[in-house]
Amino acid sequence: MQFKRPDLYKGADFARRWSVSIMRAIFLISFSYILLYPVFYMFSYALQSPADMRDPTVEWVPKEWFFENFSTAFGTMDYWASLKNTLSMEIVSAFLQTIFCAVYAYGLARFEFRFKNVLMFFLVLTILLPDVMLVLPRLMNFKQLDFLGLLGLFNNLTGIDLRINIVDTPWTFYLPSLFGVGLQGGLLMYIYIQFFKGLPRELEDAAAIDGAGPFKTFLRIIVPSSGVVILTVAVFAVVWHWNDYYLAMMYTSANRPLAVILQDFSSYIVRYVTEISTRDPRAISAAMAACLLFIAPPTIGYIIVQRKFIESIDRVGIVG
Amino acid sequence: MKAKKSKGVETLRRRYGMAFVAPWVFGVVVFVLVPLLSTIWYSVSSVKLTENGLETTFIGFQHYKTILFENSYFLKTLPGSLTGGLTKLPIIVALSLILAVILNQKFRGRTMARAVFFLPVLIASSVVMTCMAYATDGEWSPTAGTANTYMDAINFNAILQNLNLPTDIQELLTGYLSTTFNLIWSCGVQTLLFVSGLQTIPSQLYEVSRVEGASAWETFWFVTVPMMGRIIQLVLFYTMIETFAKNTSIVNYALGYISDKLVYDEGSAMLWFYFMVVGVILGTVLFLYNRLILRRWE
Repeated sequence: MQFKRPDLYKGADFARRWSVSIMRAIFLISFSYILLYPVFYMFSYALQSPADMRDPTVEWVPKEWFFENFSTAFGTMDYWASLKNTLSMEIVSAFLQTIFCAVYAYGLARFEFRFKNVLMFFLVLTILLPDVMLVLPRLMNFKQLDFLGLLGLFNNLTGIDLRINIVDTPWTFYLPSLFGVGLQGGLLMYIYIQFFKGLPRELEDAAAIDGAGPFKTFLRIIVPSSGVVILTVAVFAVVWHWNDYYLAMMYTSANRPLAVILQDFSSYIVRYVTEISTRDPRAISAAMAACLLFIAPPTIGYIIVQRKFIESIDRVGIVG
Repeated sequence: MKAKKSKGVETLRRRYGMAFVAPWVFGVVVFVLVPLLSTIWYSVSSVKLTENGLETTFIGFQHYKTILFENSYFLKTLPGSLTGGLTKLPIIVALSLILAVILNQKFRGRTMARAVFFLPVLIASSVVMTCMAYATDGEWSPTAGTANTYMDAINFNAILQNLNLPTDIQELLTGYLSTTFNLIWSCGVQTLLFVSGLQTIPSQLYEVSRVEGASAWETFWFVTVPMMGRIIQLVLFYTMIETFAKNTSIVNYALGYISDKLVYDEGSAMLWFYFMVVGVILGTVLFLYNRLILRRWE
């Protein structure tokens, strides 16, 4: 049943609605300008020919559309191969984290057990400490994969070396992700925890009364009613993995993902186009084209999934 | 009899809880705790790079003494890194909540607006920024950049001059506005968190407040904000991590010791000292928020 205002207010209502719309438009457009500035900049420079770049009368709009920069960027980045590397290493581990962090976070959000506070302390610690600090000892472990020195002990006792080198394989990304301690894993868990704590307990209690165990409750009750949260975490996980260059740079020597190549674009382009130097206008245009090629896939992906952020409003079904 | 039974149920729930987190605990111990302990060890010893790897000898708290009493750069940057983050905190939380509420409304062009406000999540503090800095020869960065050109474009300074305000107030206003505009770059993740949080508010609450005749303003303060309590906590936490622990000059300085100069011992000591201070601030802010605000809302 809709609550209806008397017609008396119609004029005032109309004026109010319009003023709200105009205020909103001013607010959004001002901020959009700040945010879109680098994107405009990229488009403008990516579409300029070397002649336009040197021409001082050309500031934003190029005199002729020049698409060669994009093909240069495509070749320099070895786009398809690098994209495949990003997808097979980074994005797969982003999805692994989205799934496994949810399980661990549910344990921390809903159950009470001994040493939980200690675990929460370590969760915050993993979020706080930068990867740079931990990467070297971790890399040494990956060269001879060992769990707390147990396999080393086994080697000393029996002479059988089970420690394998997983550097340069995707497992350097997958393995920490499976345990929720991959790239930004702690933060993803923290997001899950805050949202899970806000879910109504009644649904879980009802499931427990009906005889469902905690794992079944998690799969049948929690997962279906946290669509928005899972989507949010997935978006963050994918974006952060997409942008990750530091770990990828440390863990891989060949088969580099897109972010590493973009980070080092200026040195790559010197190698790719032999007569070019790093501050050559062609190098700058190609770098801007490369940036656009880099941000295009996640942006398109986000535009497709953002609809779901609204559609699932009334999924959490409990009244009163 | 009854007491015994309920105790059994509790033990069972405790075991289930442990089963849920067990793999993560294993991961933390193997992939985080062991490297962590080794950096603590580095910070209290003298580390030399040799052909066989790192060679360490215990020397006590020598490095901590050095950074606290001899390293002037570290001490000079420390207060700035901390206060800068704390003053930004309330602006970022408020701005991203307002943005999320607006982006959650129904209006024409909302898909476009949402895509635009996703940009900071994607490109702020990413490799794209490195590329932009390279292309603009270091002139443009998300924190010092477009706000001034924007305010020139709308003739903001001229408008202020026409209002005949004292110059002090004019400068204050322009400074404040340009900071706010540039802070939009730090609001991406927070806005998205709030947008998702808004979806979890049951629509019945809004229906009730409409039937009761509450104005939009009252609905915002008495329904939206209290229901966002946990998400505000999350955003506070995230923002503090981002402003204190990532990309502050002091962290980059200490990380430079590790990754460029390969001075593991002093670099680790600096980081550990800094993160202890940050941990105390983080804990205090969240504790105060929980005690003074969140408890009243729940």
